[in-house]
Amino acid sequence: MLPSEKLTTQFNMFKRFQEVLHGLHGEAILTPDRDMPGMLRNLMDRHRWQRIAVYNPDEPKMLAVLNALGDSGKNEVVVLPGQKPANFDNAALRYQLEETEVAISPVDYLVAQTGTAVFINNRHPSSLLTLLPPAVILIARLEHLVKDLWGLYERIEKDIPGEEPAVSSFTGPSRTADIEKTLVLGVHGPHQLFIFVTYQEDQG
Amino acid sequence: MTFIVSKRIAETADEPNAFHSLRANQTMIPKTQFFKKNLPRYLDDHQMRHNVMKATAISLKKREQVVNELPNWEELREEAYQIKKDIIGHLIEYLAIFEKHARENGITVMRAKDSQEATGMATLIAREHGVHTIVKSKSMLTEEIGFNDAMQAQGLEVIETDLGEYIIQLAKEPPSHLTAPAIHKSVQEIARLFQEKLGIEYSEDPHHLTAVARQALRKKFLSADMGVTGANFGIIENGNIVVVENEGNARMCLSLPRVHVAFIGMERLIHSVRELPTFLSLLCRSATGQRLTSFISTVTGPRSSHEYDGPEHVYYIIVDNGRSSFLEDEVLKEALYCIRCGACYNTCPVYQNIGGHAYGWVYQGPIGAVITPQFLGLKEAAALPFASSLCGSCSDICPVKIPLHHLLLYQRKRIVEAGVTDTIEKIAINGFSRVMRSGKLYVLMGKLGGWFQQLLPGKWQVPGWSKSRETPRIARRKFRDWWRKEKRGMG
Repeated sequence: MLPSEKLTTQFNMFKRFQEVLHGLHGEAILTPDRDMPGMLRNLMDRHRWQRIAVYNPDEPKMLAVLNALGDSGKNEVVVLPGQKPANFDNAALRYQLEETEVAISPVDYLVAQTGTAVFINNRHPSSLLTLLPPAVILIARLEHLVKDLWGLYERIEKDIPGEEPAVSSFTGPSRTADIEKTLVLGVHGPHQLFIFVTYQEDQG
Repeated sequence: MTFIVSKRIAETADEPNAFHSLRANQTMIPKTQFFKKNLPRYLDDHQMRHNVMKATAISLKKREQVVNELPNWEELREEAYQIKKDIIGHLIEYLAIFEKHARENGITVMRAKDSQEATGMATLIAREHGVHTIVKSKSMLTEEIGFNDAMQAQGLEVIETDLGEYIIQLAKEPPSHLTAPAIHKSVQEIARLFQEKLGIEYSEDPHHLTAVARQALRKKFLSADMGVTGANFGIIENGNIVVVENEGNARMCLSLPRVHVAFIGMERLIHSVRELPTFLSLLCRSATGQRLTSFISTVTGPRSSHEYDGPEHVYYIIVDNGRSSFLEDEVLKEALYCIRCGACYNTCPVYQNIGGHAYGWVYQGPIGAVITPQFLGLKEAAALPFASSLCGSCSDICPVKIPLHHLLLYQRKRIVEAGVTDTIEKIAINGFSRVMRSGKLYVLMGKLGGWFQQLLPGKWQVPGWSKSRETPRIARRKFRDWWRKEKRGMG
């Protein structure tokens, strides 16, 4: 497939992903790489989020995010580096996360058919980061969007052959229908879920 | 408004005898032998019947929408059936491999023969780690073994964190459905319950009620010593377990407290992660009409040195409690394929009309009617497989193609062979059998019946049976006599 054809397929899959996630009361935003930090800043400002937790596995995009957040000056940012520092206070983390309003993390794969964001467990040394705060922003790449669950495992096998890693997933925000089948969001896990899907603009 | 509520919860949560110190929901002391006797009470409960009818209808509609999206649904069912057939066919060997892999990941694996052993192990673990407070997510297996009551008896606090389970824990009731334990309750009943037990103002807003529960339970999550979950799938090839949920409480149970205990039914295995797309698709679409649930978590072992959070100790308690007895029966072993989706409950006209509590134990609906006699005894649960019209809707809807209505019939056969039937029924069936096997007796009874019916005025009333049926009249002129005459006439 030509790069431009591939991109078209990916864009169409994104539309499907966005539609499904929207039905689940999550939001997916497609954006060129370099615009993502700015758009994320806008989202933060719109919600007036100031207490933020960020997982930074030392990727350029996360550094860009941190810069964007740092710019506004009044944010309180808790950063979890990819390599856990030796003297890190594990016990305090949960209480710090309790205070945050939004968590930001990269995510590894997206599944269009189900509106799902997938983490490879061993790339994410904190589960609480995206579980305790009431809002979560995930950052994914368009090229990591796959069609369905079978496509997911095929893709993982292609990207990291032989590993078959453990995965965990988010499909929309936390929800319940335990009270008379009425949908209620944010029972224990996050109430709001945003997913930025970024792509390199100069392709195709 | 919310501020006042949250302040109140914050005040009460730490008091001794605060709402969470209430007795855990009644462990189901089985009431299966009172099934027939209790039935009128459930049939008369119009509110409950309305709630259950409405909830099951919604569930079925949602399921249909997402199942129709997958053109290969039937192939997936067949694939799952074949996978489970192999797993159950070699369960003991597979369990050993699963256990080995789990141990290699630093997980302590224990095998419990029955519920006493299972709860005993949990108590030992709690003692070993100085546990006082346990948070748990929804797990039918823990209901089955009476986990809550057993822990409470040891002076340990058990808090149900799934909203539906939390509601019935407050109400001191058992669950009435596999995936929606409080489905028999209306929002008014829940509002009254929260008002009474949590001291909040009466509110019928489900969002507000849920926010109250979230706040109250969050405090408990952060400080609990032990988290207990079930396991939807155990993966043989790597010893991991997969937990499927919507609220996020299960993920909290397995990542916040320093000890995580997972109760696993010994039959809940699949070969590898490659089978997850099929099983997750079947489970989520069948259970709640979702393409996938909000959270799917994989447990791989205790926290490693490079991780920020996660339990320090992870235990698997693999529970038998009667499951191995299914393995000995070639027909019944298919009941072990069950992935506990609850779709058979939703589609069953009996369940729709009587609700879950009527079944008298933790497993309800068609699968409950099949497995309960095996777990509790043919005599104790004899009524359950008979409470069915054998319409077969359950077999049709089962995502792993368990032939449920055949199994119901099979259990009926075993119950009768075990001698657990009314004397009158025995006499009647024996008499009927004798008449049907003899041409002469058959003709004689036909004649006698015809005369008898003419003698009695009006319609025949067969006790019970005639309440909703019209007794047919036996023909005065028999076909046999007519034919004999006709044949003669035809020469």
